Amino acid sequence: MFLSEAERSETLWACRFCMMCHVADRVAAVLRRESYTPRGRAAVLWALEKGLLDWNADAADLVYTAVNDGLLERWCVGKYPYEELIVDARARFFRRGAVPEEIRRRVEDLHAGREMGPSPAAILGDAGVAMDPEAPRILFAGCTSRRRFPETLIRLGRLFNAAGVPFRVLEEEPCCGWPLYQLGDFDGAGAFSRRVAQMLRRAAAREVVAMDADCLRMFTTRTVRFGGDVTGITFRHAVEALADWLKDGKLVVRRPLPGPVTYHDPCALARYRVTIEPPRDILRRVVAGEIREMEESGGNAPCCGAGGMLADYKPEVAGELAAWRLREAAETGARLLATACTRCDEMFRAAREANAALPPLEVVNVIDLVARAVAIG
Amino acid sequence: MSLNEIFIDIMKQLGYFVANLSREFNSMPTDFRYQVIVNEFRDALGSENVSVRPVDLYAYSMDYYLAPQIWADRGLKPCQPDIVVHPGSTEEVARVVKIASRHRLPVIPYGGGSGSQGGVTPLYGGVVVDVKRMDRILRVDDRSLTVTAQPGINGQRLEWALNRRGFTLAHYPASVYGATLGGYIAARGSGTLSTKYGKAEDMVLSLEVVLPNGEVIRTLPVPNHACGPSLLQLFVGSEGTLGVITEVTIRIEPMPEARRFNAYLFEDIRAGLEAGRRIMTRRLQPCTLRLYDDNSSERIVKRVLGLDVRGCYMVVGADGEASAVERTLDAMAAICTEQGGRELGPRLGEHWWRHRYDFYFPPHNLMLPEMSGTVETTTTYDKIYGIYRAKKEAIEEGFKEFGARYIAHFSHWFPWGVMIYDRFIIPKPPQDPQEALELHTMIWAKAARTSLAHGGVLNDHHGIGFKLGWLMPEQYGPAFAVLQAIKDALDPQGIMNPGKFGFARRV
Ligand SMILES: Cc1cc2nc3c(=O)[nH]c(=O)nc-3n(C[C@H](O)[C@H](O)[C@H](O)COP(=O)(O)OP(=O)(O)OC[C@H]3O[C@@H](n4cnc5c(N)ncnc54)[C@H](O)[C@@H]3O)c2cc1C
Repeated sequence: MFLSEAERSETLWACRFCMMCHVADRVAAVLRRESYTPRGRAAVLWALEKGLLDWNADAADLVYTAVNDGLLERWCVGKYPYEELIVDARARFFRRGAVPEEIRRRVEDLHAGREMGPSPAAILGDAGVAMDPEAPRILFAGCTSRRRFPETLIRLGRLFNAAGVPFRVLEEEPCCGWPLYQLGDFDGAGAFSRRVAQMLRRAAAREVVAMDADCLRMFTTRTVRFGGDVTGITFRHAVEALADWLKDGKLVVRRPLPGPVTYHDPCALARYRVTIEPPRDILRRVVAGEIREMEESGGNAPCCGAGGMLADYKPEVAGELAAWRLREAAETGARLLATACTRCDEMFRAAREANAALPPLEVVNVIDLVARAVAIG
Repeated sequence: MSLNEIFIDIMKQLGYFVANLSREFNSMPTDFRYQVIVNEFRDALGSENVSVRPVDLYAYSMDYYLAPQIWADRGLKPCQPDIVVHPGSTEEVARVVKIASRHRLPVIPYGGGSGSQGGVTPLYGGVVVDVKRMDRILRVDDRSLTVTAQPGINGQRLEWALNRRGFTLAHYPASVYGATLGGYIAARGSGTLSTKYGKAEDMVLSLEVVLPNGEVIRTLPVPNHACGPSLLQLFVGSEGTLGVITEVTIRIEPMPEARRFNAYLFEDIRAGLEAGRRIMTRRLQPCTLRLYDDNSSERIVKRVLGLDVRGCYMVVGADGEASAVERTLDAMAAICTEQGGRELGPRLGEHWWRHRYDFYFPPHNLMLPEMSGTVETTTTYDKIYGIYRAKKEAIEEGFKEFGARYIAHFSHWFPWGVMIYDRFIIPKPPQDPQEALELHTMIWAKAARTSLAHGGVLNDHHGIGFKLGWLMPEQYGPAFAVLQAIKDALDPQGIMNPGKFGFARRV
């Protein structure tokens, strides 16, 4: 659906025998098996196409063991959309009912609305954050924030209040459909996209500020293509809003934070949206010490492990990717690793908890850093 | 008919030496015996490091050799292994080889699968030993400037790790993003800076190898000695036919203070070749010297680098201490202009360096549906132009009816000669896989024999594999018996990578 037949066959043609991006695929580097390299996956997809292999869970396993972080397309001189090829393949497995059991269960959970976390209205309301029921601006928290980082969500709400920017949340915030899209359930992703678009329209939203970078990517690049009508609504990420408010003086830094700090770019922001400067701009304003860049940063930053729903399917592989990135962050000598996506946050924290040998680096969302620096919450 | 049978057929039809490939070889049957053997491997390595999943067997059936690619492209199943194993240590490799030896199973070492000669094609099934789990850097000796690492480390990752410490391997093959250190050595490879830093065989100091009987040996700790013939060099370039390389100690270089390039345009390839020869025989030590013929400049340089040049493009480079770099570039400039080269300027040289790998990415690389082959060779300066002319004619005239084109560049220069990286291109090969393979084999045979007839060799740095194995006895003549005797002594059962190198099958 997202690749035309021509794009798909051209990408398959280009990738099925090519190993020029192997070094850019960290999943391949962790697993160290030919089948899990970009070429291995593409070769198998080709063989499926030609009837040389069966569409079964073993073959599906290869395409679900990927982070779809856009790095391979970026690395490729020919710019073949490898990640889209993988999502497209997932959809084909899904339609055939040939996905691994873990994936089937996860999709079921998503349809049943399990693991969504409490509603943002309740989280913010209970914390006494002021919301304006007439505001045209919607704060869209996303499931990870609701489930795992309600405190960060509350701080973001307070920052809205401190900046004097009226906002509200959807009464019953639905899933944006991103996970279903990534898992290959395109029908489900379509239904979710239309539902969320309808709710935003009903709420007369003019602007949506997303806390989760993947939700933002869904809204800006996928929702419409799945049939969700979001005409007239602008979308941006929380860090983009915070950067503006700090610049405009709506938020004032009272307690600059000590450095050195390093920053991990989420794929959905840095690569797919090219939001590279706003989080750095924020850090320059809220951190008194040095901001140190990791060797691979900005558009070249690798995935934290959460991309492509890998953390749901192969948490141990995703965990290794997160640990790898944590070590790179530590190599900069920073005492704190800032992130701008709750899913990266979750990955890094889980990796650190699972492995005491990892460097004792504090992982903090940029939202929390701003809250600390402007001394709220 | 299997791919192997087709090959034997084609070679027989063409009257070629079919040496040792044999029809009666049985791949393991999928029965009780197979299950028992798989379980032995699982016991030795852990279940998670042994795979018999069809998807894995398929993924390990190919490298860059065009034959299996054509096969797969036309929807046919290529030769596949029966089992894939992922050892994590020398000890585990030894266990694998011992099991295989006991059951007389073919053992095919697999690095990055970037080889282009069918070196990893599992012609007779068997066990593919993927060494990528063995990817640790064990030691960097910054006094002697050496690194010791396991063979499965990715070339670019090794390079990055060394760069972080202020060193470089100085081995930059265009396959660096996918190839492994073990593969560099096993295939006797060469990088873009080989003219100064040498080929893999010049860089390596010592190896640890698991022999075909499962014994682990080490070559002497240093490569230069007077303790008999070089055991080290026996395994360098052995392409998995004599054992599995499990550890490599290799030279490293300090990151150069400066590395700079310039570019020239020659009207005539002979003038460019003469300039290159003079640069080398004056021992100027460029790090890069690469001369593209007019076809190659037109097709590759223009398309990939966007340089609209007519003639023969040459890039030269020097690295090291800044003032020495200047002097080398000046001296090369004098020679190039003296030979009629027009200076294009450093920008066009630097541009080449920055984009040197772009040529190998799709859509710039040569790949199906075009049929192509890098029929490269190497020879001394006195013969190089003759080889170039002869091969150009052999391909363009010999295969005119197929619209054959010939492009070449000269990229790895030695004190005594130069390698010619030449390729044939058939824009529209036959759709029928058998016909396509037959044509492919015929062009290769013609090109290789032309090289041999004009003082060249079968290959400079891509290796032999399955593709050129059958021509080895022809190349070596009676001397091939020496190689065969060594193979027989080390691997009497012939389990190591059978069907490659033209070695007789013994199993
Ligand atoms: C796009 C492209 C560009 C290339 N450019 C260059 C270049 O510039 N210079 C160059 O030299 N080559 C080049 N090659 C060829 C190829 O990359 C090299 O031969 C490389 O060294 C192979 O390494 P590998 O790890 O991929 O080996 P593989 O392809 O996995 O194996 C090659 C052979 O070595 C054997 N082998 C691998 N590992 C071991 C081991 N540990 N022990 C024993 N045997 C082993 C295999 O059995 C096989 O016979 C290129 C190939 C491609 C596809």
